[in-house]
Amino acid sequence: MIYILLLLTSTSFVFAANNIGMIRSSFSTIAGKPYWIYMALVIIGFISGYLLEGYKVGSNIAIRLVSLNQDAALISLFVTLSVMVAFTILRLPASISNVALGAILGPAIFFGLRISYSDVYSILLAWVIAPVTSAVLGVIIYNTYVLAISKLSFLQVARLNRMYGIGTVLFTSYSLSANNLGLLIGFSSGVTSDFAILFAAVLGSILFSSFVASTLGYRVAVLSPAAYYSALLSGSLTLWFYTQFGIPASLTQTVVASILSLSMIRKPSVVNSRIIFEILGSWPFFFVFTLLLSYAISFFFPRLF
Amino acid sequence: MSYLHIFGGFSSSEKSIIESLKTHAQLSVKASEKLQTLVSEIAADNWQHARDIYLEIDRVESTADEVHKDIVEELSTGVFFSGLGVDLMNLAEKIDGVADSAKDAARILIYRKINGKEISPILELLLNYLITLTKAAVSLKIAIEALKHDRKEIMKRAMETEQYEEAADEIKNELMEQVYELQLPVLSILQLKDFIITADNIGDNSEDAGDILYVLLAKGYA
Repeated sequence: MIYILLLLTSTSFVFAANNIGMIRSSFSTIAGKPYWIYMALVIIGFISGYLLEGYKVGSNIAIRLVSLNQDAALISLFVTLSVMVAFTILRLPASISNVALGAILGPAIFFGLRISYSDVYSILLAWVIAPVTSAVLGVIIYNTYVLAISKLSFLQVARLNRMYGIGTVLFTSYSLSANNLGLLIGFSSGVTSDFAILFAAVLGSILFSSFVASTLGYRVAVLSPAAYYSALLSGSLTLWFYTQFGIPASLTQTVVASILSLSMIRKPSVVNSRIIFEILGSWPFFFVFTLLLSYAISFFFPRLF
Repeated sequence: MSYLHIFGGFSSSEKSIIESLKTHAQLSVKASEKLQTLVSEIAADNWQHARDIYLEIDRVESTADEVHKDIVEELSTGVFFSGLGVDLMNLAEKIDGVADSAKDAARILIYRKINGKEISPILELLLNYLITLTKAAVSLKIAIEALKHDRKEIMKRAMETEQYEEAADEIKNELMEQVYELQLPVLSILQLKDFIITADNIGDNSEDAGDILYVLLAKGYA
């Protein structure tokens, strides 16, 4: 049990360092100083998302999707952690939902555990649909916002943009935590480990989230503040929608898809297509890679312990 | 409780920055206007009065510098104008450039005493030139005031700064031709040439500031 707790907290720590970096990139790119205020908002959103809705994805994974035994849970967490660490060191955003699903299924298949394949297919289908819906939603939100502010004065627009930014940062961290961090609840065995996950995530976001903060903010596309906030909002709304069904999804995929669609409707369009397609097309890689890796580790696992 | 500033509704941070920009632009206009008086006084051979006006321009420019410093400080430490902070700093820099140019131009005329008679053949055109440059600065000031209420007014006035700058350029060319035709000592010719070219920066900075206003509108509303 202690190994699971250790792996859970480490995974949570690395997840926060990697994924909060994405939110952090948004405010370090488009908002002003001091950053710590925005960081505080992120932490508030993060804690409330985990406490209020984190159980939805967690229980869906633990109860409906697969019944993991202790060994399978240990292998899943080990693989998830390793991949997340590797990508964080490479300063690339990685989705824990993409990584963890493969890592869960590998040992489950190897040990012959019960798997709800209909739920697996639902998740995979969601991963295909989510970026598309987020892209469309992003354009709708952005156009509505631009229309709403068109009659306002510059001063009013500046204030509104700031409020829009604050609200988006809060909701994005809420939604990310409810869905992705909630996924780890599926491995948790009680209130103590639930809080250990949360504590490690908060610590990871404070200490290391600047590590991957630049990727989305600077390298993906050049967008106006309103367009960037709309992309974040549509991505997190899509993620929140899937949370209601207990489906783990990727904020990176939904936000990037939205950034792409918003870049395409704007002229001139300044977008780094290589990075966008790398991020959007990464989930099959993560899924298959972690599935194979965890399956292979399951094979050697009894000989190691 | 400065951290509460991020919740715009509870503070007037953006408003205060725009107010500062307005004051900054007003000071720049004042410096430009005084430049016309300075030239008139020199033309009338009121040398001492001209020196006093130069000192006034110098004071106005120093005040504008202070306002500029405050704006930059506030923009770089606050969480205001999401994504627009750098553009606003550039705007303040250009507004400051208007006051700086007025002072630099005034200084050129004050460094060496020039006779009223030397200026008189070109006085009318020279004043017309300075009035046109000041109009560019005034349009900029109105555009900045409009940041608080009217988007269309900003566009209209920003366009005006451009038109005034172009008009000033045409006058400048004519003025330069006339200056070179004057039968004056070489130093006086050089002094007048330097003055005309330096004063031209009032229009250039106003126009550049107008361009930044376009950028602000494009970024803020898009």
